[in-house]
Amino acid sequence: MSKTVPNQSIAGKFGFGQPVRRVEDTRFVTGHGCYSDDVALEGALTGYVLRSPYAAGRIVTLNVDDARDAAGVHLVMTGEELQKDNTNHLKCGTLVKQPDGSTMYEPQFPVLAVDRVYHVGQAVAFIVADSLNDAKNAAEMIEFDVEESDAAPDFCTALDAGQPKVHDAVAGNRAFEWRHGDQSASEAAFAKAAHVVELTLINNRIISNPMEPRIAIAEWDEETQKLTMTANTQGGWPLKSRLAKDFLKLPSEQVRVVTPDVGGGFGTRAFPCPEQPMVCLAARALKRPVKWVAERSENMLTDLGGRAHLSTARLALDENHKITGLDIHLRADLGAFLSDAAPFIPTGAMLKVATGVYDVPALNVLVEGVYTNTTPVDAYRGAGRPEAIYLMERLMDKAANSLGQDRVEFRRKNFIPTEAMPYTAASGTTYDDGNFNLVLDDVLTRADWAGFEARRQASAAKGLKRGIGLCYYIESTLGAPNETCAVTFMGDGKLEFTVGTQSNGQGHETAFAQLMADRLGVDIDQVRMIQGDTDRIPTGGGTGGSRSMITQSTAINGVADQIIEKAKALAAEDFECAVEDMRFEAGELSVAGTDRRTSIMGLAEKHPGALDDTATTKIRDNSYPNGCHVAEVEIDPETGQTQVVNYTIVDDFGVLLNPMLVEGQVHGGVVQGLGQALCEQVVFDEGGQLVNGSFMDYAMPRADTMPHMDFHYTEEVPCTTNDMGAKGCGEAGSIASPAAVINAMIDALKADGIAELDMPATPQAVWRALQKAA
Amino acid sequence: MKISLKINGQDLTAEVAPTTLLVDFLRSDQGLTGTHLGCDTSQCGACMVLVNGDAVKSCTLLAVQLDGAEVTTIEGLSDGETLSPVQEAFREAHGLQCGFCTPGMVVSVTDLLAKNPNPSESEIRHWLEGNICRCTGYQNIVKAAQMAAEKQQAA
Amino acid sequence: MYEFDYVRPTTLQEAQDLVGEDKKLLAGGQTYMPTLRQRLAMPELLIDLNAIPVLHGICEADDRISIGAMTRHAEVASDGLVRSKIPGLASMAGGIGDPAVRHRGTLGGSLANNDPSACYPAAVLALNAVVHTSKRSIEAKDFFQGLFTTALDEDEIISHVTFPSVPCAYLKFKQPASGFALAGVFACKLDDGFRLAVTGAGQEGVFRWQQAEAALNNDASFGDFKSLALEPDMIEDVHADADYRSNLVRVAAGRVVAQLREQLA
Repeated sequence: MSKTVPNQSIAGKFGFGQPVRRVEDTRFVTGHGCYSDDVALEGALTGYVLRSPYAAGRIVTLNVDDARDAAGVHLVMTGEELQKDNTNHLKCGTLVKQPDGSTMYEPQFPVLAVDRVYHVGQAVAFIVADSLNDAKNAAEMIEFDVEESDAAPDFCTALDAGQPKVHDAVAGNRAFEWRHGDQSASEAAFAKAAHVVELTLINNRIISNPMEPRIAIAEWDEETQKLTMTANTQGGWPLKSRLAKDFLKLPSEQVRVVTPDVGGGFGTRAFPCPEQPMVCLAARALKRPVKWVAERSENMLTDLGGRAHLSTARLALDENHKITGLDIHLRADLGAFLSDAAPFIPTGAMLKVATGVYDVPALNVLVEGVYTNTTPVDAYRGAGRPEAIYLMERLMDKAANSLGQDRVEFRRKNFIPTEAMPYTAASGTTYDDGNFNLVLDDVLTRADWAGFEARRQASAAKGLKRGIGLCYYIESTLGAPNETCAVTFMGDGKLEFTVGTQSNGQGHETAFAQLMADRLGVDIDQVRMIQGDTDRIPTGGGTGGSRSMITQSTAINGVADQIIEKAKALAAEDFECAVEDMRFEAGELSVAGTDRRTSIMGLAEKHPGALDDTATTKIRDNSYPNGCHVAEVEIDPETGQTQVVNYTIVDDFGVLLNPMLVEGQVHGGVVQGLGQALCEQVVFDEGGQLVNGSFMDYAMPRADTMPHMDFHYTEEVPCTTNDMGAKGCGEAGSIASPAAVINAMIDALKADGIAELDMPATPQAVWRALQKAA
Repeated sequence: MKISLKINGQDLTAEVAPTTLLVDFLRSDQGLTGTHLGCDTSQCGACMVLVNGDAVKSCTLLAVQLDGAEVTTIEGLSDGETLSPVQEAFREAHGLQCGFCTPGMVVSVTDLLAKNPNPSESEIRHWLEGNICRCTGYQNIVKAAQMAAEKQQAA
Repeated sequence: MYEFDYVRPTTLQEAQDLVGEDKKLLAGGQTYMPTLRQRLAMPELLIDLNAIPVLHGICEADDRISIGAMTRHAEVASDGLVRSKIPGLASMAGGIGDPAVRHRGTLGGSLANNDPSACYPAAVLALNAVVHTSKRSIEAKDFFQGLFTTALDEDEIISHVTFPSVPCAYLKFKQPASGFALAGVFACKLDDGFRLAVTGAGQEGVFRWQQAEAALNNDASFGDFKSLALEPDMIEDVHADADYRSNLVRVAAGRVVAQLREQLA
């Protein structure tokens, strides 16, 4: 049975709760990190993908003969060969059930195109050559012709009558229909509502753009018939089994996935991509290592997209402005093919927090998946929860504004009261605990919400429009509840422990080492975390859905408990006393009431292997981090340019292991959300061409455009669904900031008659809104 | 073509093709993989190194242009095991997460402080316009620059 | 990149002897290197101008400031002479790109390229600078000839540019991804009156806003730029449509002229 609270007597001494500086930083700040492209490879060949410049059409010619004969070229792979071998399908792992009970249809997501192309950038041929230049020269020799057909690249119109079909087998480009809730209860609530508020908005499509491009390296060992893939993943186990089963047709022990340092994941790196099987099959055929690295423009065109929802939400209110019903109709862009988790994001994931922090008696949800002739879309930081909260918090502000209610008091009135916890929402989610008024009061004070009017007037005197807005978010962590930790004592006063998570920058090497060191009462530099090798670590749930801290720490606690019990038993034997007389504290085992003692490391050295252990644990449920962000903006009406002049955060992440790491996650998430809200958008033209496919035209947040953030947290509401009391923090920032800043901008502009604003609220969009309202 | 240059204080001579980018020369020929390639339009700054004391993008220079030059990469900023004040400050301030943009950020901040030892927050943020980070939201990078400035002034 | 040969001459004459069709000049490389990397150009030979001393440097001669073609943006931005005598030019150079771009990018490279969204063309046109080349001297009004087009012959090399010493100011609204101008206005007053050159906005590149100049020459306190016609066709792209761009030109003009007035006072 795990401990229910961290060991208070050593808390703080060995690191728990401390902003311990990161152990991985030494290599990162000195240029000694090892990312996938840094791995030295003997005799490696370079892969290059020829991609379709067409958004839709039938392949008329694909002639690779000249390319095969070109200088330096070893192999040119096409879809035809893969199709014959039945190794040409990236399967979706989350097909949803429709209201009639049928499972949605799954079109083939090919590794390399056969017969038709479905989006610009779709992989058509894979060239493996001595150098990238050789491969690119060969690519120019490939004859590729398509009888183009009309494309449907816009998810806002792709369901409309008369739109070109993306897939022949799919009528109206509707990939699925998915429902949740009680439609008749909802309709009844709306029928007798005193007020109904409706809002239609777009959650704009973005590209996650981790700074490290997508990369895949495959090495084949002919003697052992084993494939080793090195790639920037968020946990290599799903990829390992996919490669083994679907592409290499090998037992899974014959495949190893190594994940070195990763330059950012954000969800995008969690799912299989076509180039992974390409390099594997090529490496096996050529019996030489094959490396493929995406160039940035290629990355922008072909990395999985994020968000891309068109939603209409309606709120039913009684005469006291209490919510009686919520109706959501969501259309989600899936792209041309179903990426692994794509159907789940706008449905099950979104649903988790569809009602936010409010007491919503009746909920009705309809989600339609939409195919478009664009690159596939999948999870991006928050994965469904940002979309749900953005919709809810925009709707709450609209409701308050249109009814002449105070935006804060209207929310309070509808909060789930703390006394009602644990509370099962109409979404089916049970929030274990939460004290929303505590957090709200704190953030309003810190943001000086009360003093805003004076600041508004000061800005007005300078010709600027100032607004303040808030977003109260709640999020549900996701992912597998199990996790494993295996500890090996090295015999030199140190130990290694494995994790089933995968850091892409979150600082796991430090956070988990802090916890292990804290539990076993040793120094942080006596413990070393091992990750990223499916040979060394047989199972793992990976990183995503903000699961890492809560699941892995539970496993670390579990194995530490086991090791302490084993240590007591072993020491009791050594000391020839009863196990009940053994004490463990601050890394030392002692016989109660005597001065006979030994360190745990000393014990391990004396009995090699005896203390090594593994634990697989399971958290009781997801956790529900929540918080309130307040954004304050200044808008220049002459240009529409917006500055975020204040940004205040109070988050409830339960108990924090390393507050410094938590704050860093929040900063990063908030800025990604601000990027989406203010300047980022993937733009396709009518023909499905990506218009802004490089950093020249896709506007990323930069140091001089992003605000200072004032971050605070409360530890007054520990999580009750895991023994750490922790709530996952990785995605929360990106869930909260879009609504906070857009609500603030609408607040700034409402005096000009502007009640709605879509993301990205670029200067041009704001200026246009002002012109139109004038 | 033959080039002779100094990299991280070491003289060296090498044969390079005219089309070899400095970043590729550093990473592949010299094994200095600390300098990273993050984009193809010379905008992200992950590839920054110091050339004759100035921060420049190594993806936008040909190796052949460096004949006679002094190059300092991220690896050259530490002195053995001792981190530079800027490197130390990045660690202290949690100014990095995945670390991919970090070499460019550290080089950029090193150059800033050499030219402007006591920059304001606004000056720091403007200086970093050419360095994109997707993880940190920039705040702790700014904090690292401020800490490094203090460290260097105190020294 | 496609294959090419490389040479690094140390005199202007050597460079002159080499340059020609498919034998291209490499200045700061901030535009040309990405172009080569994306396989959008196929030169046979790259002639590196970075080691020719006579092309670098800033000096004063006969009341004009002479800036060598290979002078970096960072040098122009920090040079004492430029900051005191042509303040708008220094502040403009200090806003080009980012620090790494400014350490390499050059005046000559920017002018020879004539990107419709680059900053330097606006300064050179407004200030009526003279572009001195290996063959002749070209006045600003004759130099810029349309989108990415200049009066330069294929084998002609800019050696230096001379500017008048006058109060002047520049204001740019940045394209948020590239940092180039969505609208950039350079304002000064020469003997022939107010001069406003606009970059980032016109489809054919930099232009002088004649209606605004006329209005200011008529009344130096003129400020109603919204009322004026703006003639060249505006660039329309994913960042700004024609209406919004013209708006930015007008707002930039108003603000930069206000800055110029302060200097003239």
